[in-house]
Amino acid sequence: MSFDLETAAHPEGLRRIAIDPVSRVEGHGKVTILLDDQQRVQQVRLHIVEFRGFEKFIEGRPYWEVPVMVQRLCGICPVSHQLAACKALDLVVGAQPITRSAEQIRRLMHYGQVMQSHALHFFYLASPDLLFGFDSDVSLRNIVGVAEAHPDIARKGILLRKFGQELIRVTSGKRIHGTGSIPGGMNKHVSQADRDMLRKDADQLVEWAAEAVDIVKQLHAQNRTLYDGFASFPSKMLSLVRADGAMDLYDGVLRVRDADGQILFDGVSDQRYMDLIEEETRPWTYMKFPHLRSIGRETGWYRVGPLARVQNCDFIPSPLAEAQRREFVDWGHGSLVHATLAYHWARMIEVLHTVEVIRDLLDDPDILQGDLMASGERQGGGIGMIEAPRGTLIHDYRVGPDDLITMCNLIVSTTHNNQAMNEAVRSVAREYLDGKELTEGLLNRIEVAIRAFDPCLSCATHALGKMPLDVVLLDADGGLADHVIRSADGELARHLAAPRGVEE
Amino acid sequence: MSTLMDVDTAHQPHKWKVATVSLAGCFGCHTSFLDIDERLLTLIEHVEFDRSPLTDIKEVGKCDIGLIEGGVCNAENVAVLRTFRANCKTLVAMGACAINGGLPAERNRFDLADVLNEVYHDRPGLSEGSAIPNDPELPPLLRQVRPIHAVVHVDYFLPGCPPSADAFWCFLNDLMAGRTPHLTHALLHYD
Amino acid sequence: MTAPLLVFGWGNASRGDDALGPLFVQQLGALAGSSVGVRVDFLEDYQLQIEHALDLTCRERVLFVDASLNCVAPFDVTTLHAARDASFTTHAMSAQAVMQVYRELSGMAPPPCTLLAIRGTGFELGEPPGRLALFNLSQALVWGQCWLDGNAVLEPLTQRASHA
Repeated sequence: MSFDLETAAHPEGLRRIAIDPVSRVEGHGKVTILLDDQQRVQQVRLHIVEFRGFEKFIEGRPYWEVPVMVQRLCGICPVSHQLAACKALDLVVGAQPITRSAEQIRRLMHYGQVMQSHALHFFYLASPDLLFGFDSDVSLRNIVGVAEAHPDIARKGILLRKFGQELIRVTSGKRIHGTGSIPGGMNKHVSQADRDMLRKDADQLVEWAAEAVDIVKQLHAQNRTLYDGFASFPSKMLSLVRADGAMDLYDGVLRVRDADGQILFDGVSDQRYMDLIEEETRPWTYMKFPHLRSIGRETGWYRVGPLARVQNCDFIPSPLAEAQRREFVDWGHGSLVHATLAYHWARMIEVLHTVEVIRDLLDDPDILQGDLMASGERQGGGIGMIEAPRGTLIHDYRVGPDDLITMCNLIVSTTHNNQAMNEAVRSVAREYLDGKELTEGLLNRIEVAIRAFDPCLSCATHALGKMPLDVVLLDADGGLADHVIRSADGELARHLAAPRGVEE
Repeated sequence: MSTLMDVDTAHQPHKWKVATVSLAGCFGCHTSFLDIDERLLTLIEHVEFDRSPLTDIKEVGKCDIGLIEGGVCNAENVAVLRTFRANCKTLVAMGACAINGGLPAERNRFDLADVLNEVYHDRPGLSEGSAIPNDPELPPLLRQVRPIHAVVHVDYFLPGCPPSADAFWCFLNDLMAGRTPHLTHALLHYD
Repeated sequence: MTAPLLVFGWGNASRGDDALGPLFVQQLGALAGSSVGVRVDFLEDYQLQIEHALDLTCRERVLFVDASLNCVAPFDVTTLHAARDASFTTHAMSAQAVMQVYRELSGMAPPPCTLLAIRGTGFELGEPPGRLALFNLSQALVWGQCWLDGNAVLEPLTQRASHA
């Protein structure tokens, strides 16, 4: 099932249609569709066509540059990368734990950015399809069209996003590519003036966030068959959860549920992600295909992001969002909600949650004063994991005694969704395009399926895409002389104590 | 901050057509442009977007202003850039990557062929079928990441990583009012 | 008239065995007596900078000296080749990068350069150099005198390795 429509049996002689570029997403992607002369769909692929090679050129840089450099992976979620890198490097400088003030300010920064990213995605990018219809007039199907037809919704969306961006500016120094978070803690406190400026709007924003959830719920209720069926397919779900099972976007342990909702893995430490996840490359895209190592490539893939997080956790630790989560879960009538369009609903529930949390954090005096830096015994490396807006983000570094990075491995949120996005576009192709005359509106449906994932395709193409390699060097007596592992991202590391072999 | 009211819509019935693209960028410049927040609602009274990540128009048409984010790192970037230059009266390099290659140009110190070979070349332990991705759908990579002025003539350079929303606002206001764009000291950032 | 030989050691004298580079330069300088400033120049600094490319001008040969945590003990010798790397933008600029700067500035090949890496084990701030490191230094000084006389063996001496 997993690879049906991935590769046509006889591609020669088929007609090729390309959706290039996929619009109203971050980054570059294109979809190619191969059709036979009865217009039957024989192959559908989502290609990610750019790569930049961050993991390669970060090697050799001083470790304190890394939180600054990795933000240039993505201009919508740079804070995710800043914080994931800092969490990893906190371990290197021995800041275990960081101070309470540092963590609270980082949480404020992070929840602010999840909020703004979700608002940007929903209001600026995705809403035109949902408010006007998937086949609506191209010239209106954008933020300008929404602003003209629904000025109230557009304005609230802009102001929700603005609030999140201001939170980032206040905590990180700049809205985009700031420097507030550093290895070991934070660079500065939140000022009283900034805090007051933000706090006065917080209650209004909780209201508007609740309205946004209502908008999406209405869309689902009014178009039930479409929303439940469109690009719907079962999948596993992966995310971080807090130790007590609550939703936590900044920190936690890994949990995976299978398509029926049963927990497959739980409590996996972020330092052990490589035990759980491995990646595969395919020749037609620069984005890799992660899957659960123990289950394998065919059925070991999963979804991440709001749809996974809202259903993976046991509860959301803020009251209004928790009530919405219960309604969401009820929609599934005992099963997981697998509808791809439900991502939008889950995303708005997260916006509500983040604003509730932000309101509380703004009342915490530790953001205004208190120690900002911690340090301890130096370590040779560390892994930082965080729930970025689009899903679980993993940064893994090793640092030499000269403070230069010797290894960098990144598994970026959208990459986890690679197989799922391909499934989604194939499902749409089967249901809506197969055997039909292709119109712009029909092709837009393919993009609607992709947009639901809120992909960050720039982030996903950081890597050069490599297969893991394990080299064990034995000396003449059969003793271990050296053991070098090349990770899935091509970086070499000596792991004398590591178990041998990368794939069973 | 100056408003767009320098532009008298009674005498300029047409809207400015603006196209934007991110080549090998991170979208930070586009995001920073959207940081004009509510001013976007005023801007759209004077501006119409042509091809842009924000719209579903896939081919750039005849436009007044083209905003280019990102440097060129593959053949497709070059082709898209040339189309923008051919169709846009005023072409603007926005942000560090478009102006000097930016952070992705850090890969220039590596030999690309070496890297790809090291990465995908058949070695013991690689799973079967691993090879350098070579599907024709993937645009060929350039040996070196380049700034856009290496390929086309650029009319304006807007520095920053990214340029601030206020810098965008000031720049666009000036252009649309027929003034030579001028950024004050406070708006001129390179970080 | 520039001295034909240059011995250039770098490191932070306040960080334990990182002092080996400067210590080597001071002690070899003392042993070199009257040839100092005539036949051989001695130079020390905290770290390599691009300006050090200028110190390579008009030299017959150059010896770079540094402490290392992972070279063979007691010291290792490598012939250096100019190479472009990004280390010039960090505190850990490499000698090869200095040679590359020289090449790009002058348009000529740099003089033959050798790297003497002396094995150290601890770089803690505020600590003095350890006994083992100082022993390695004494061995390196013997080799250094041969280098001054033009008799030194320049290949990496891996047979000296006794550690795993």
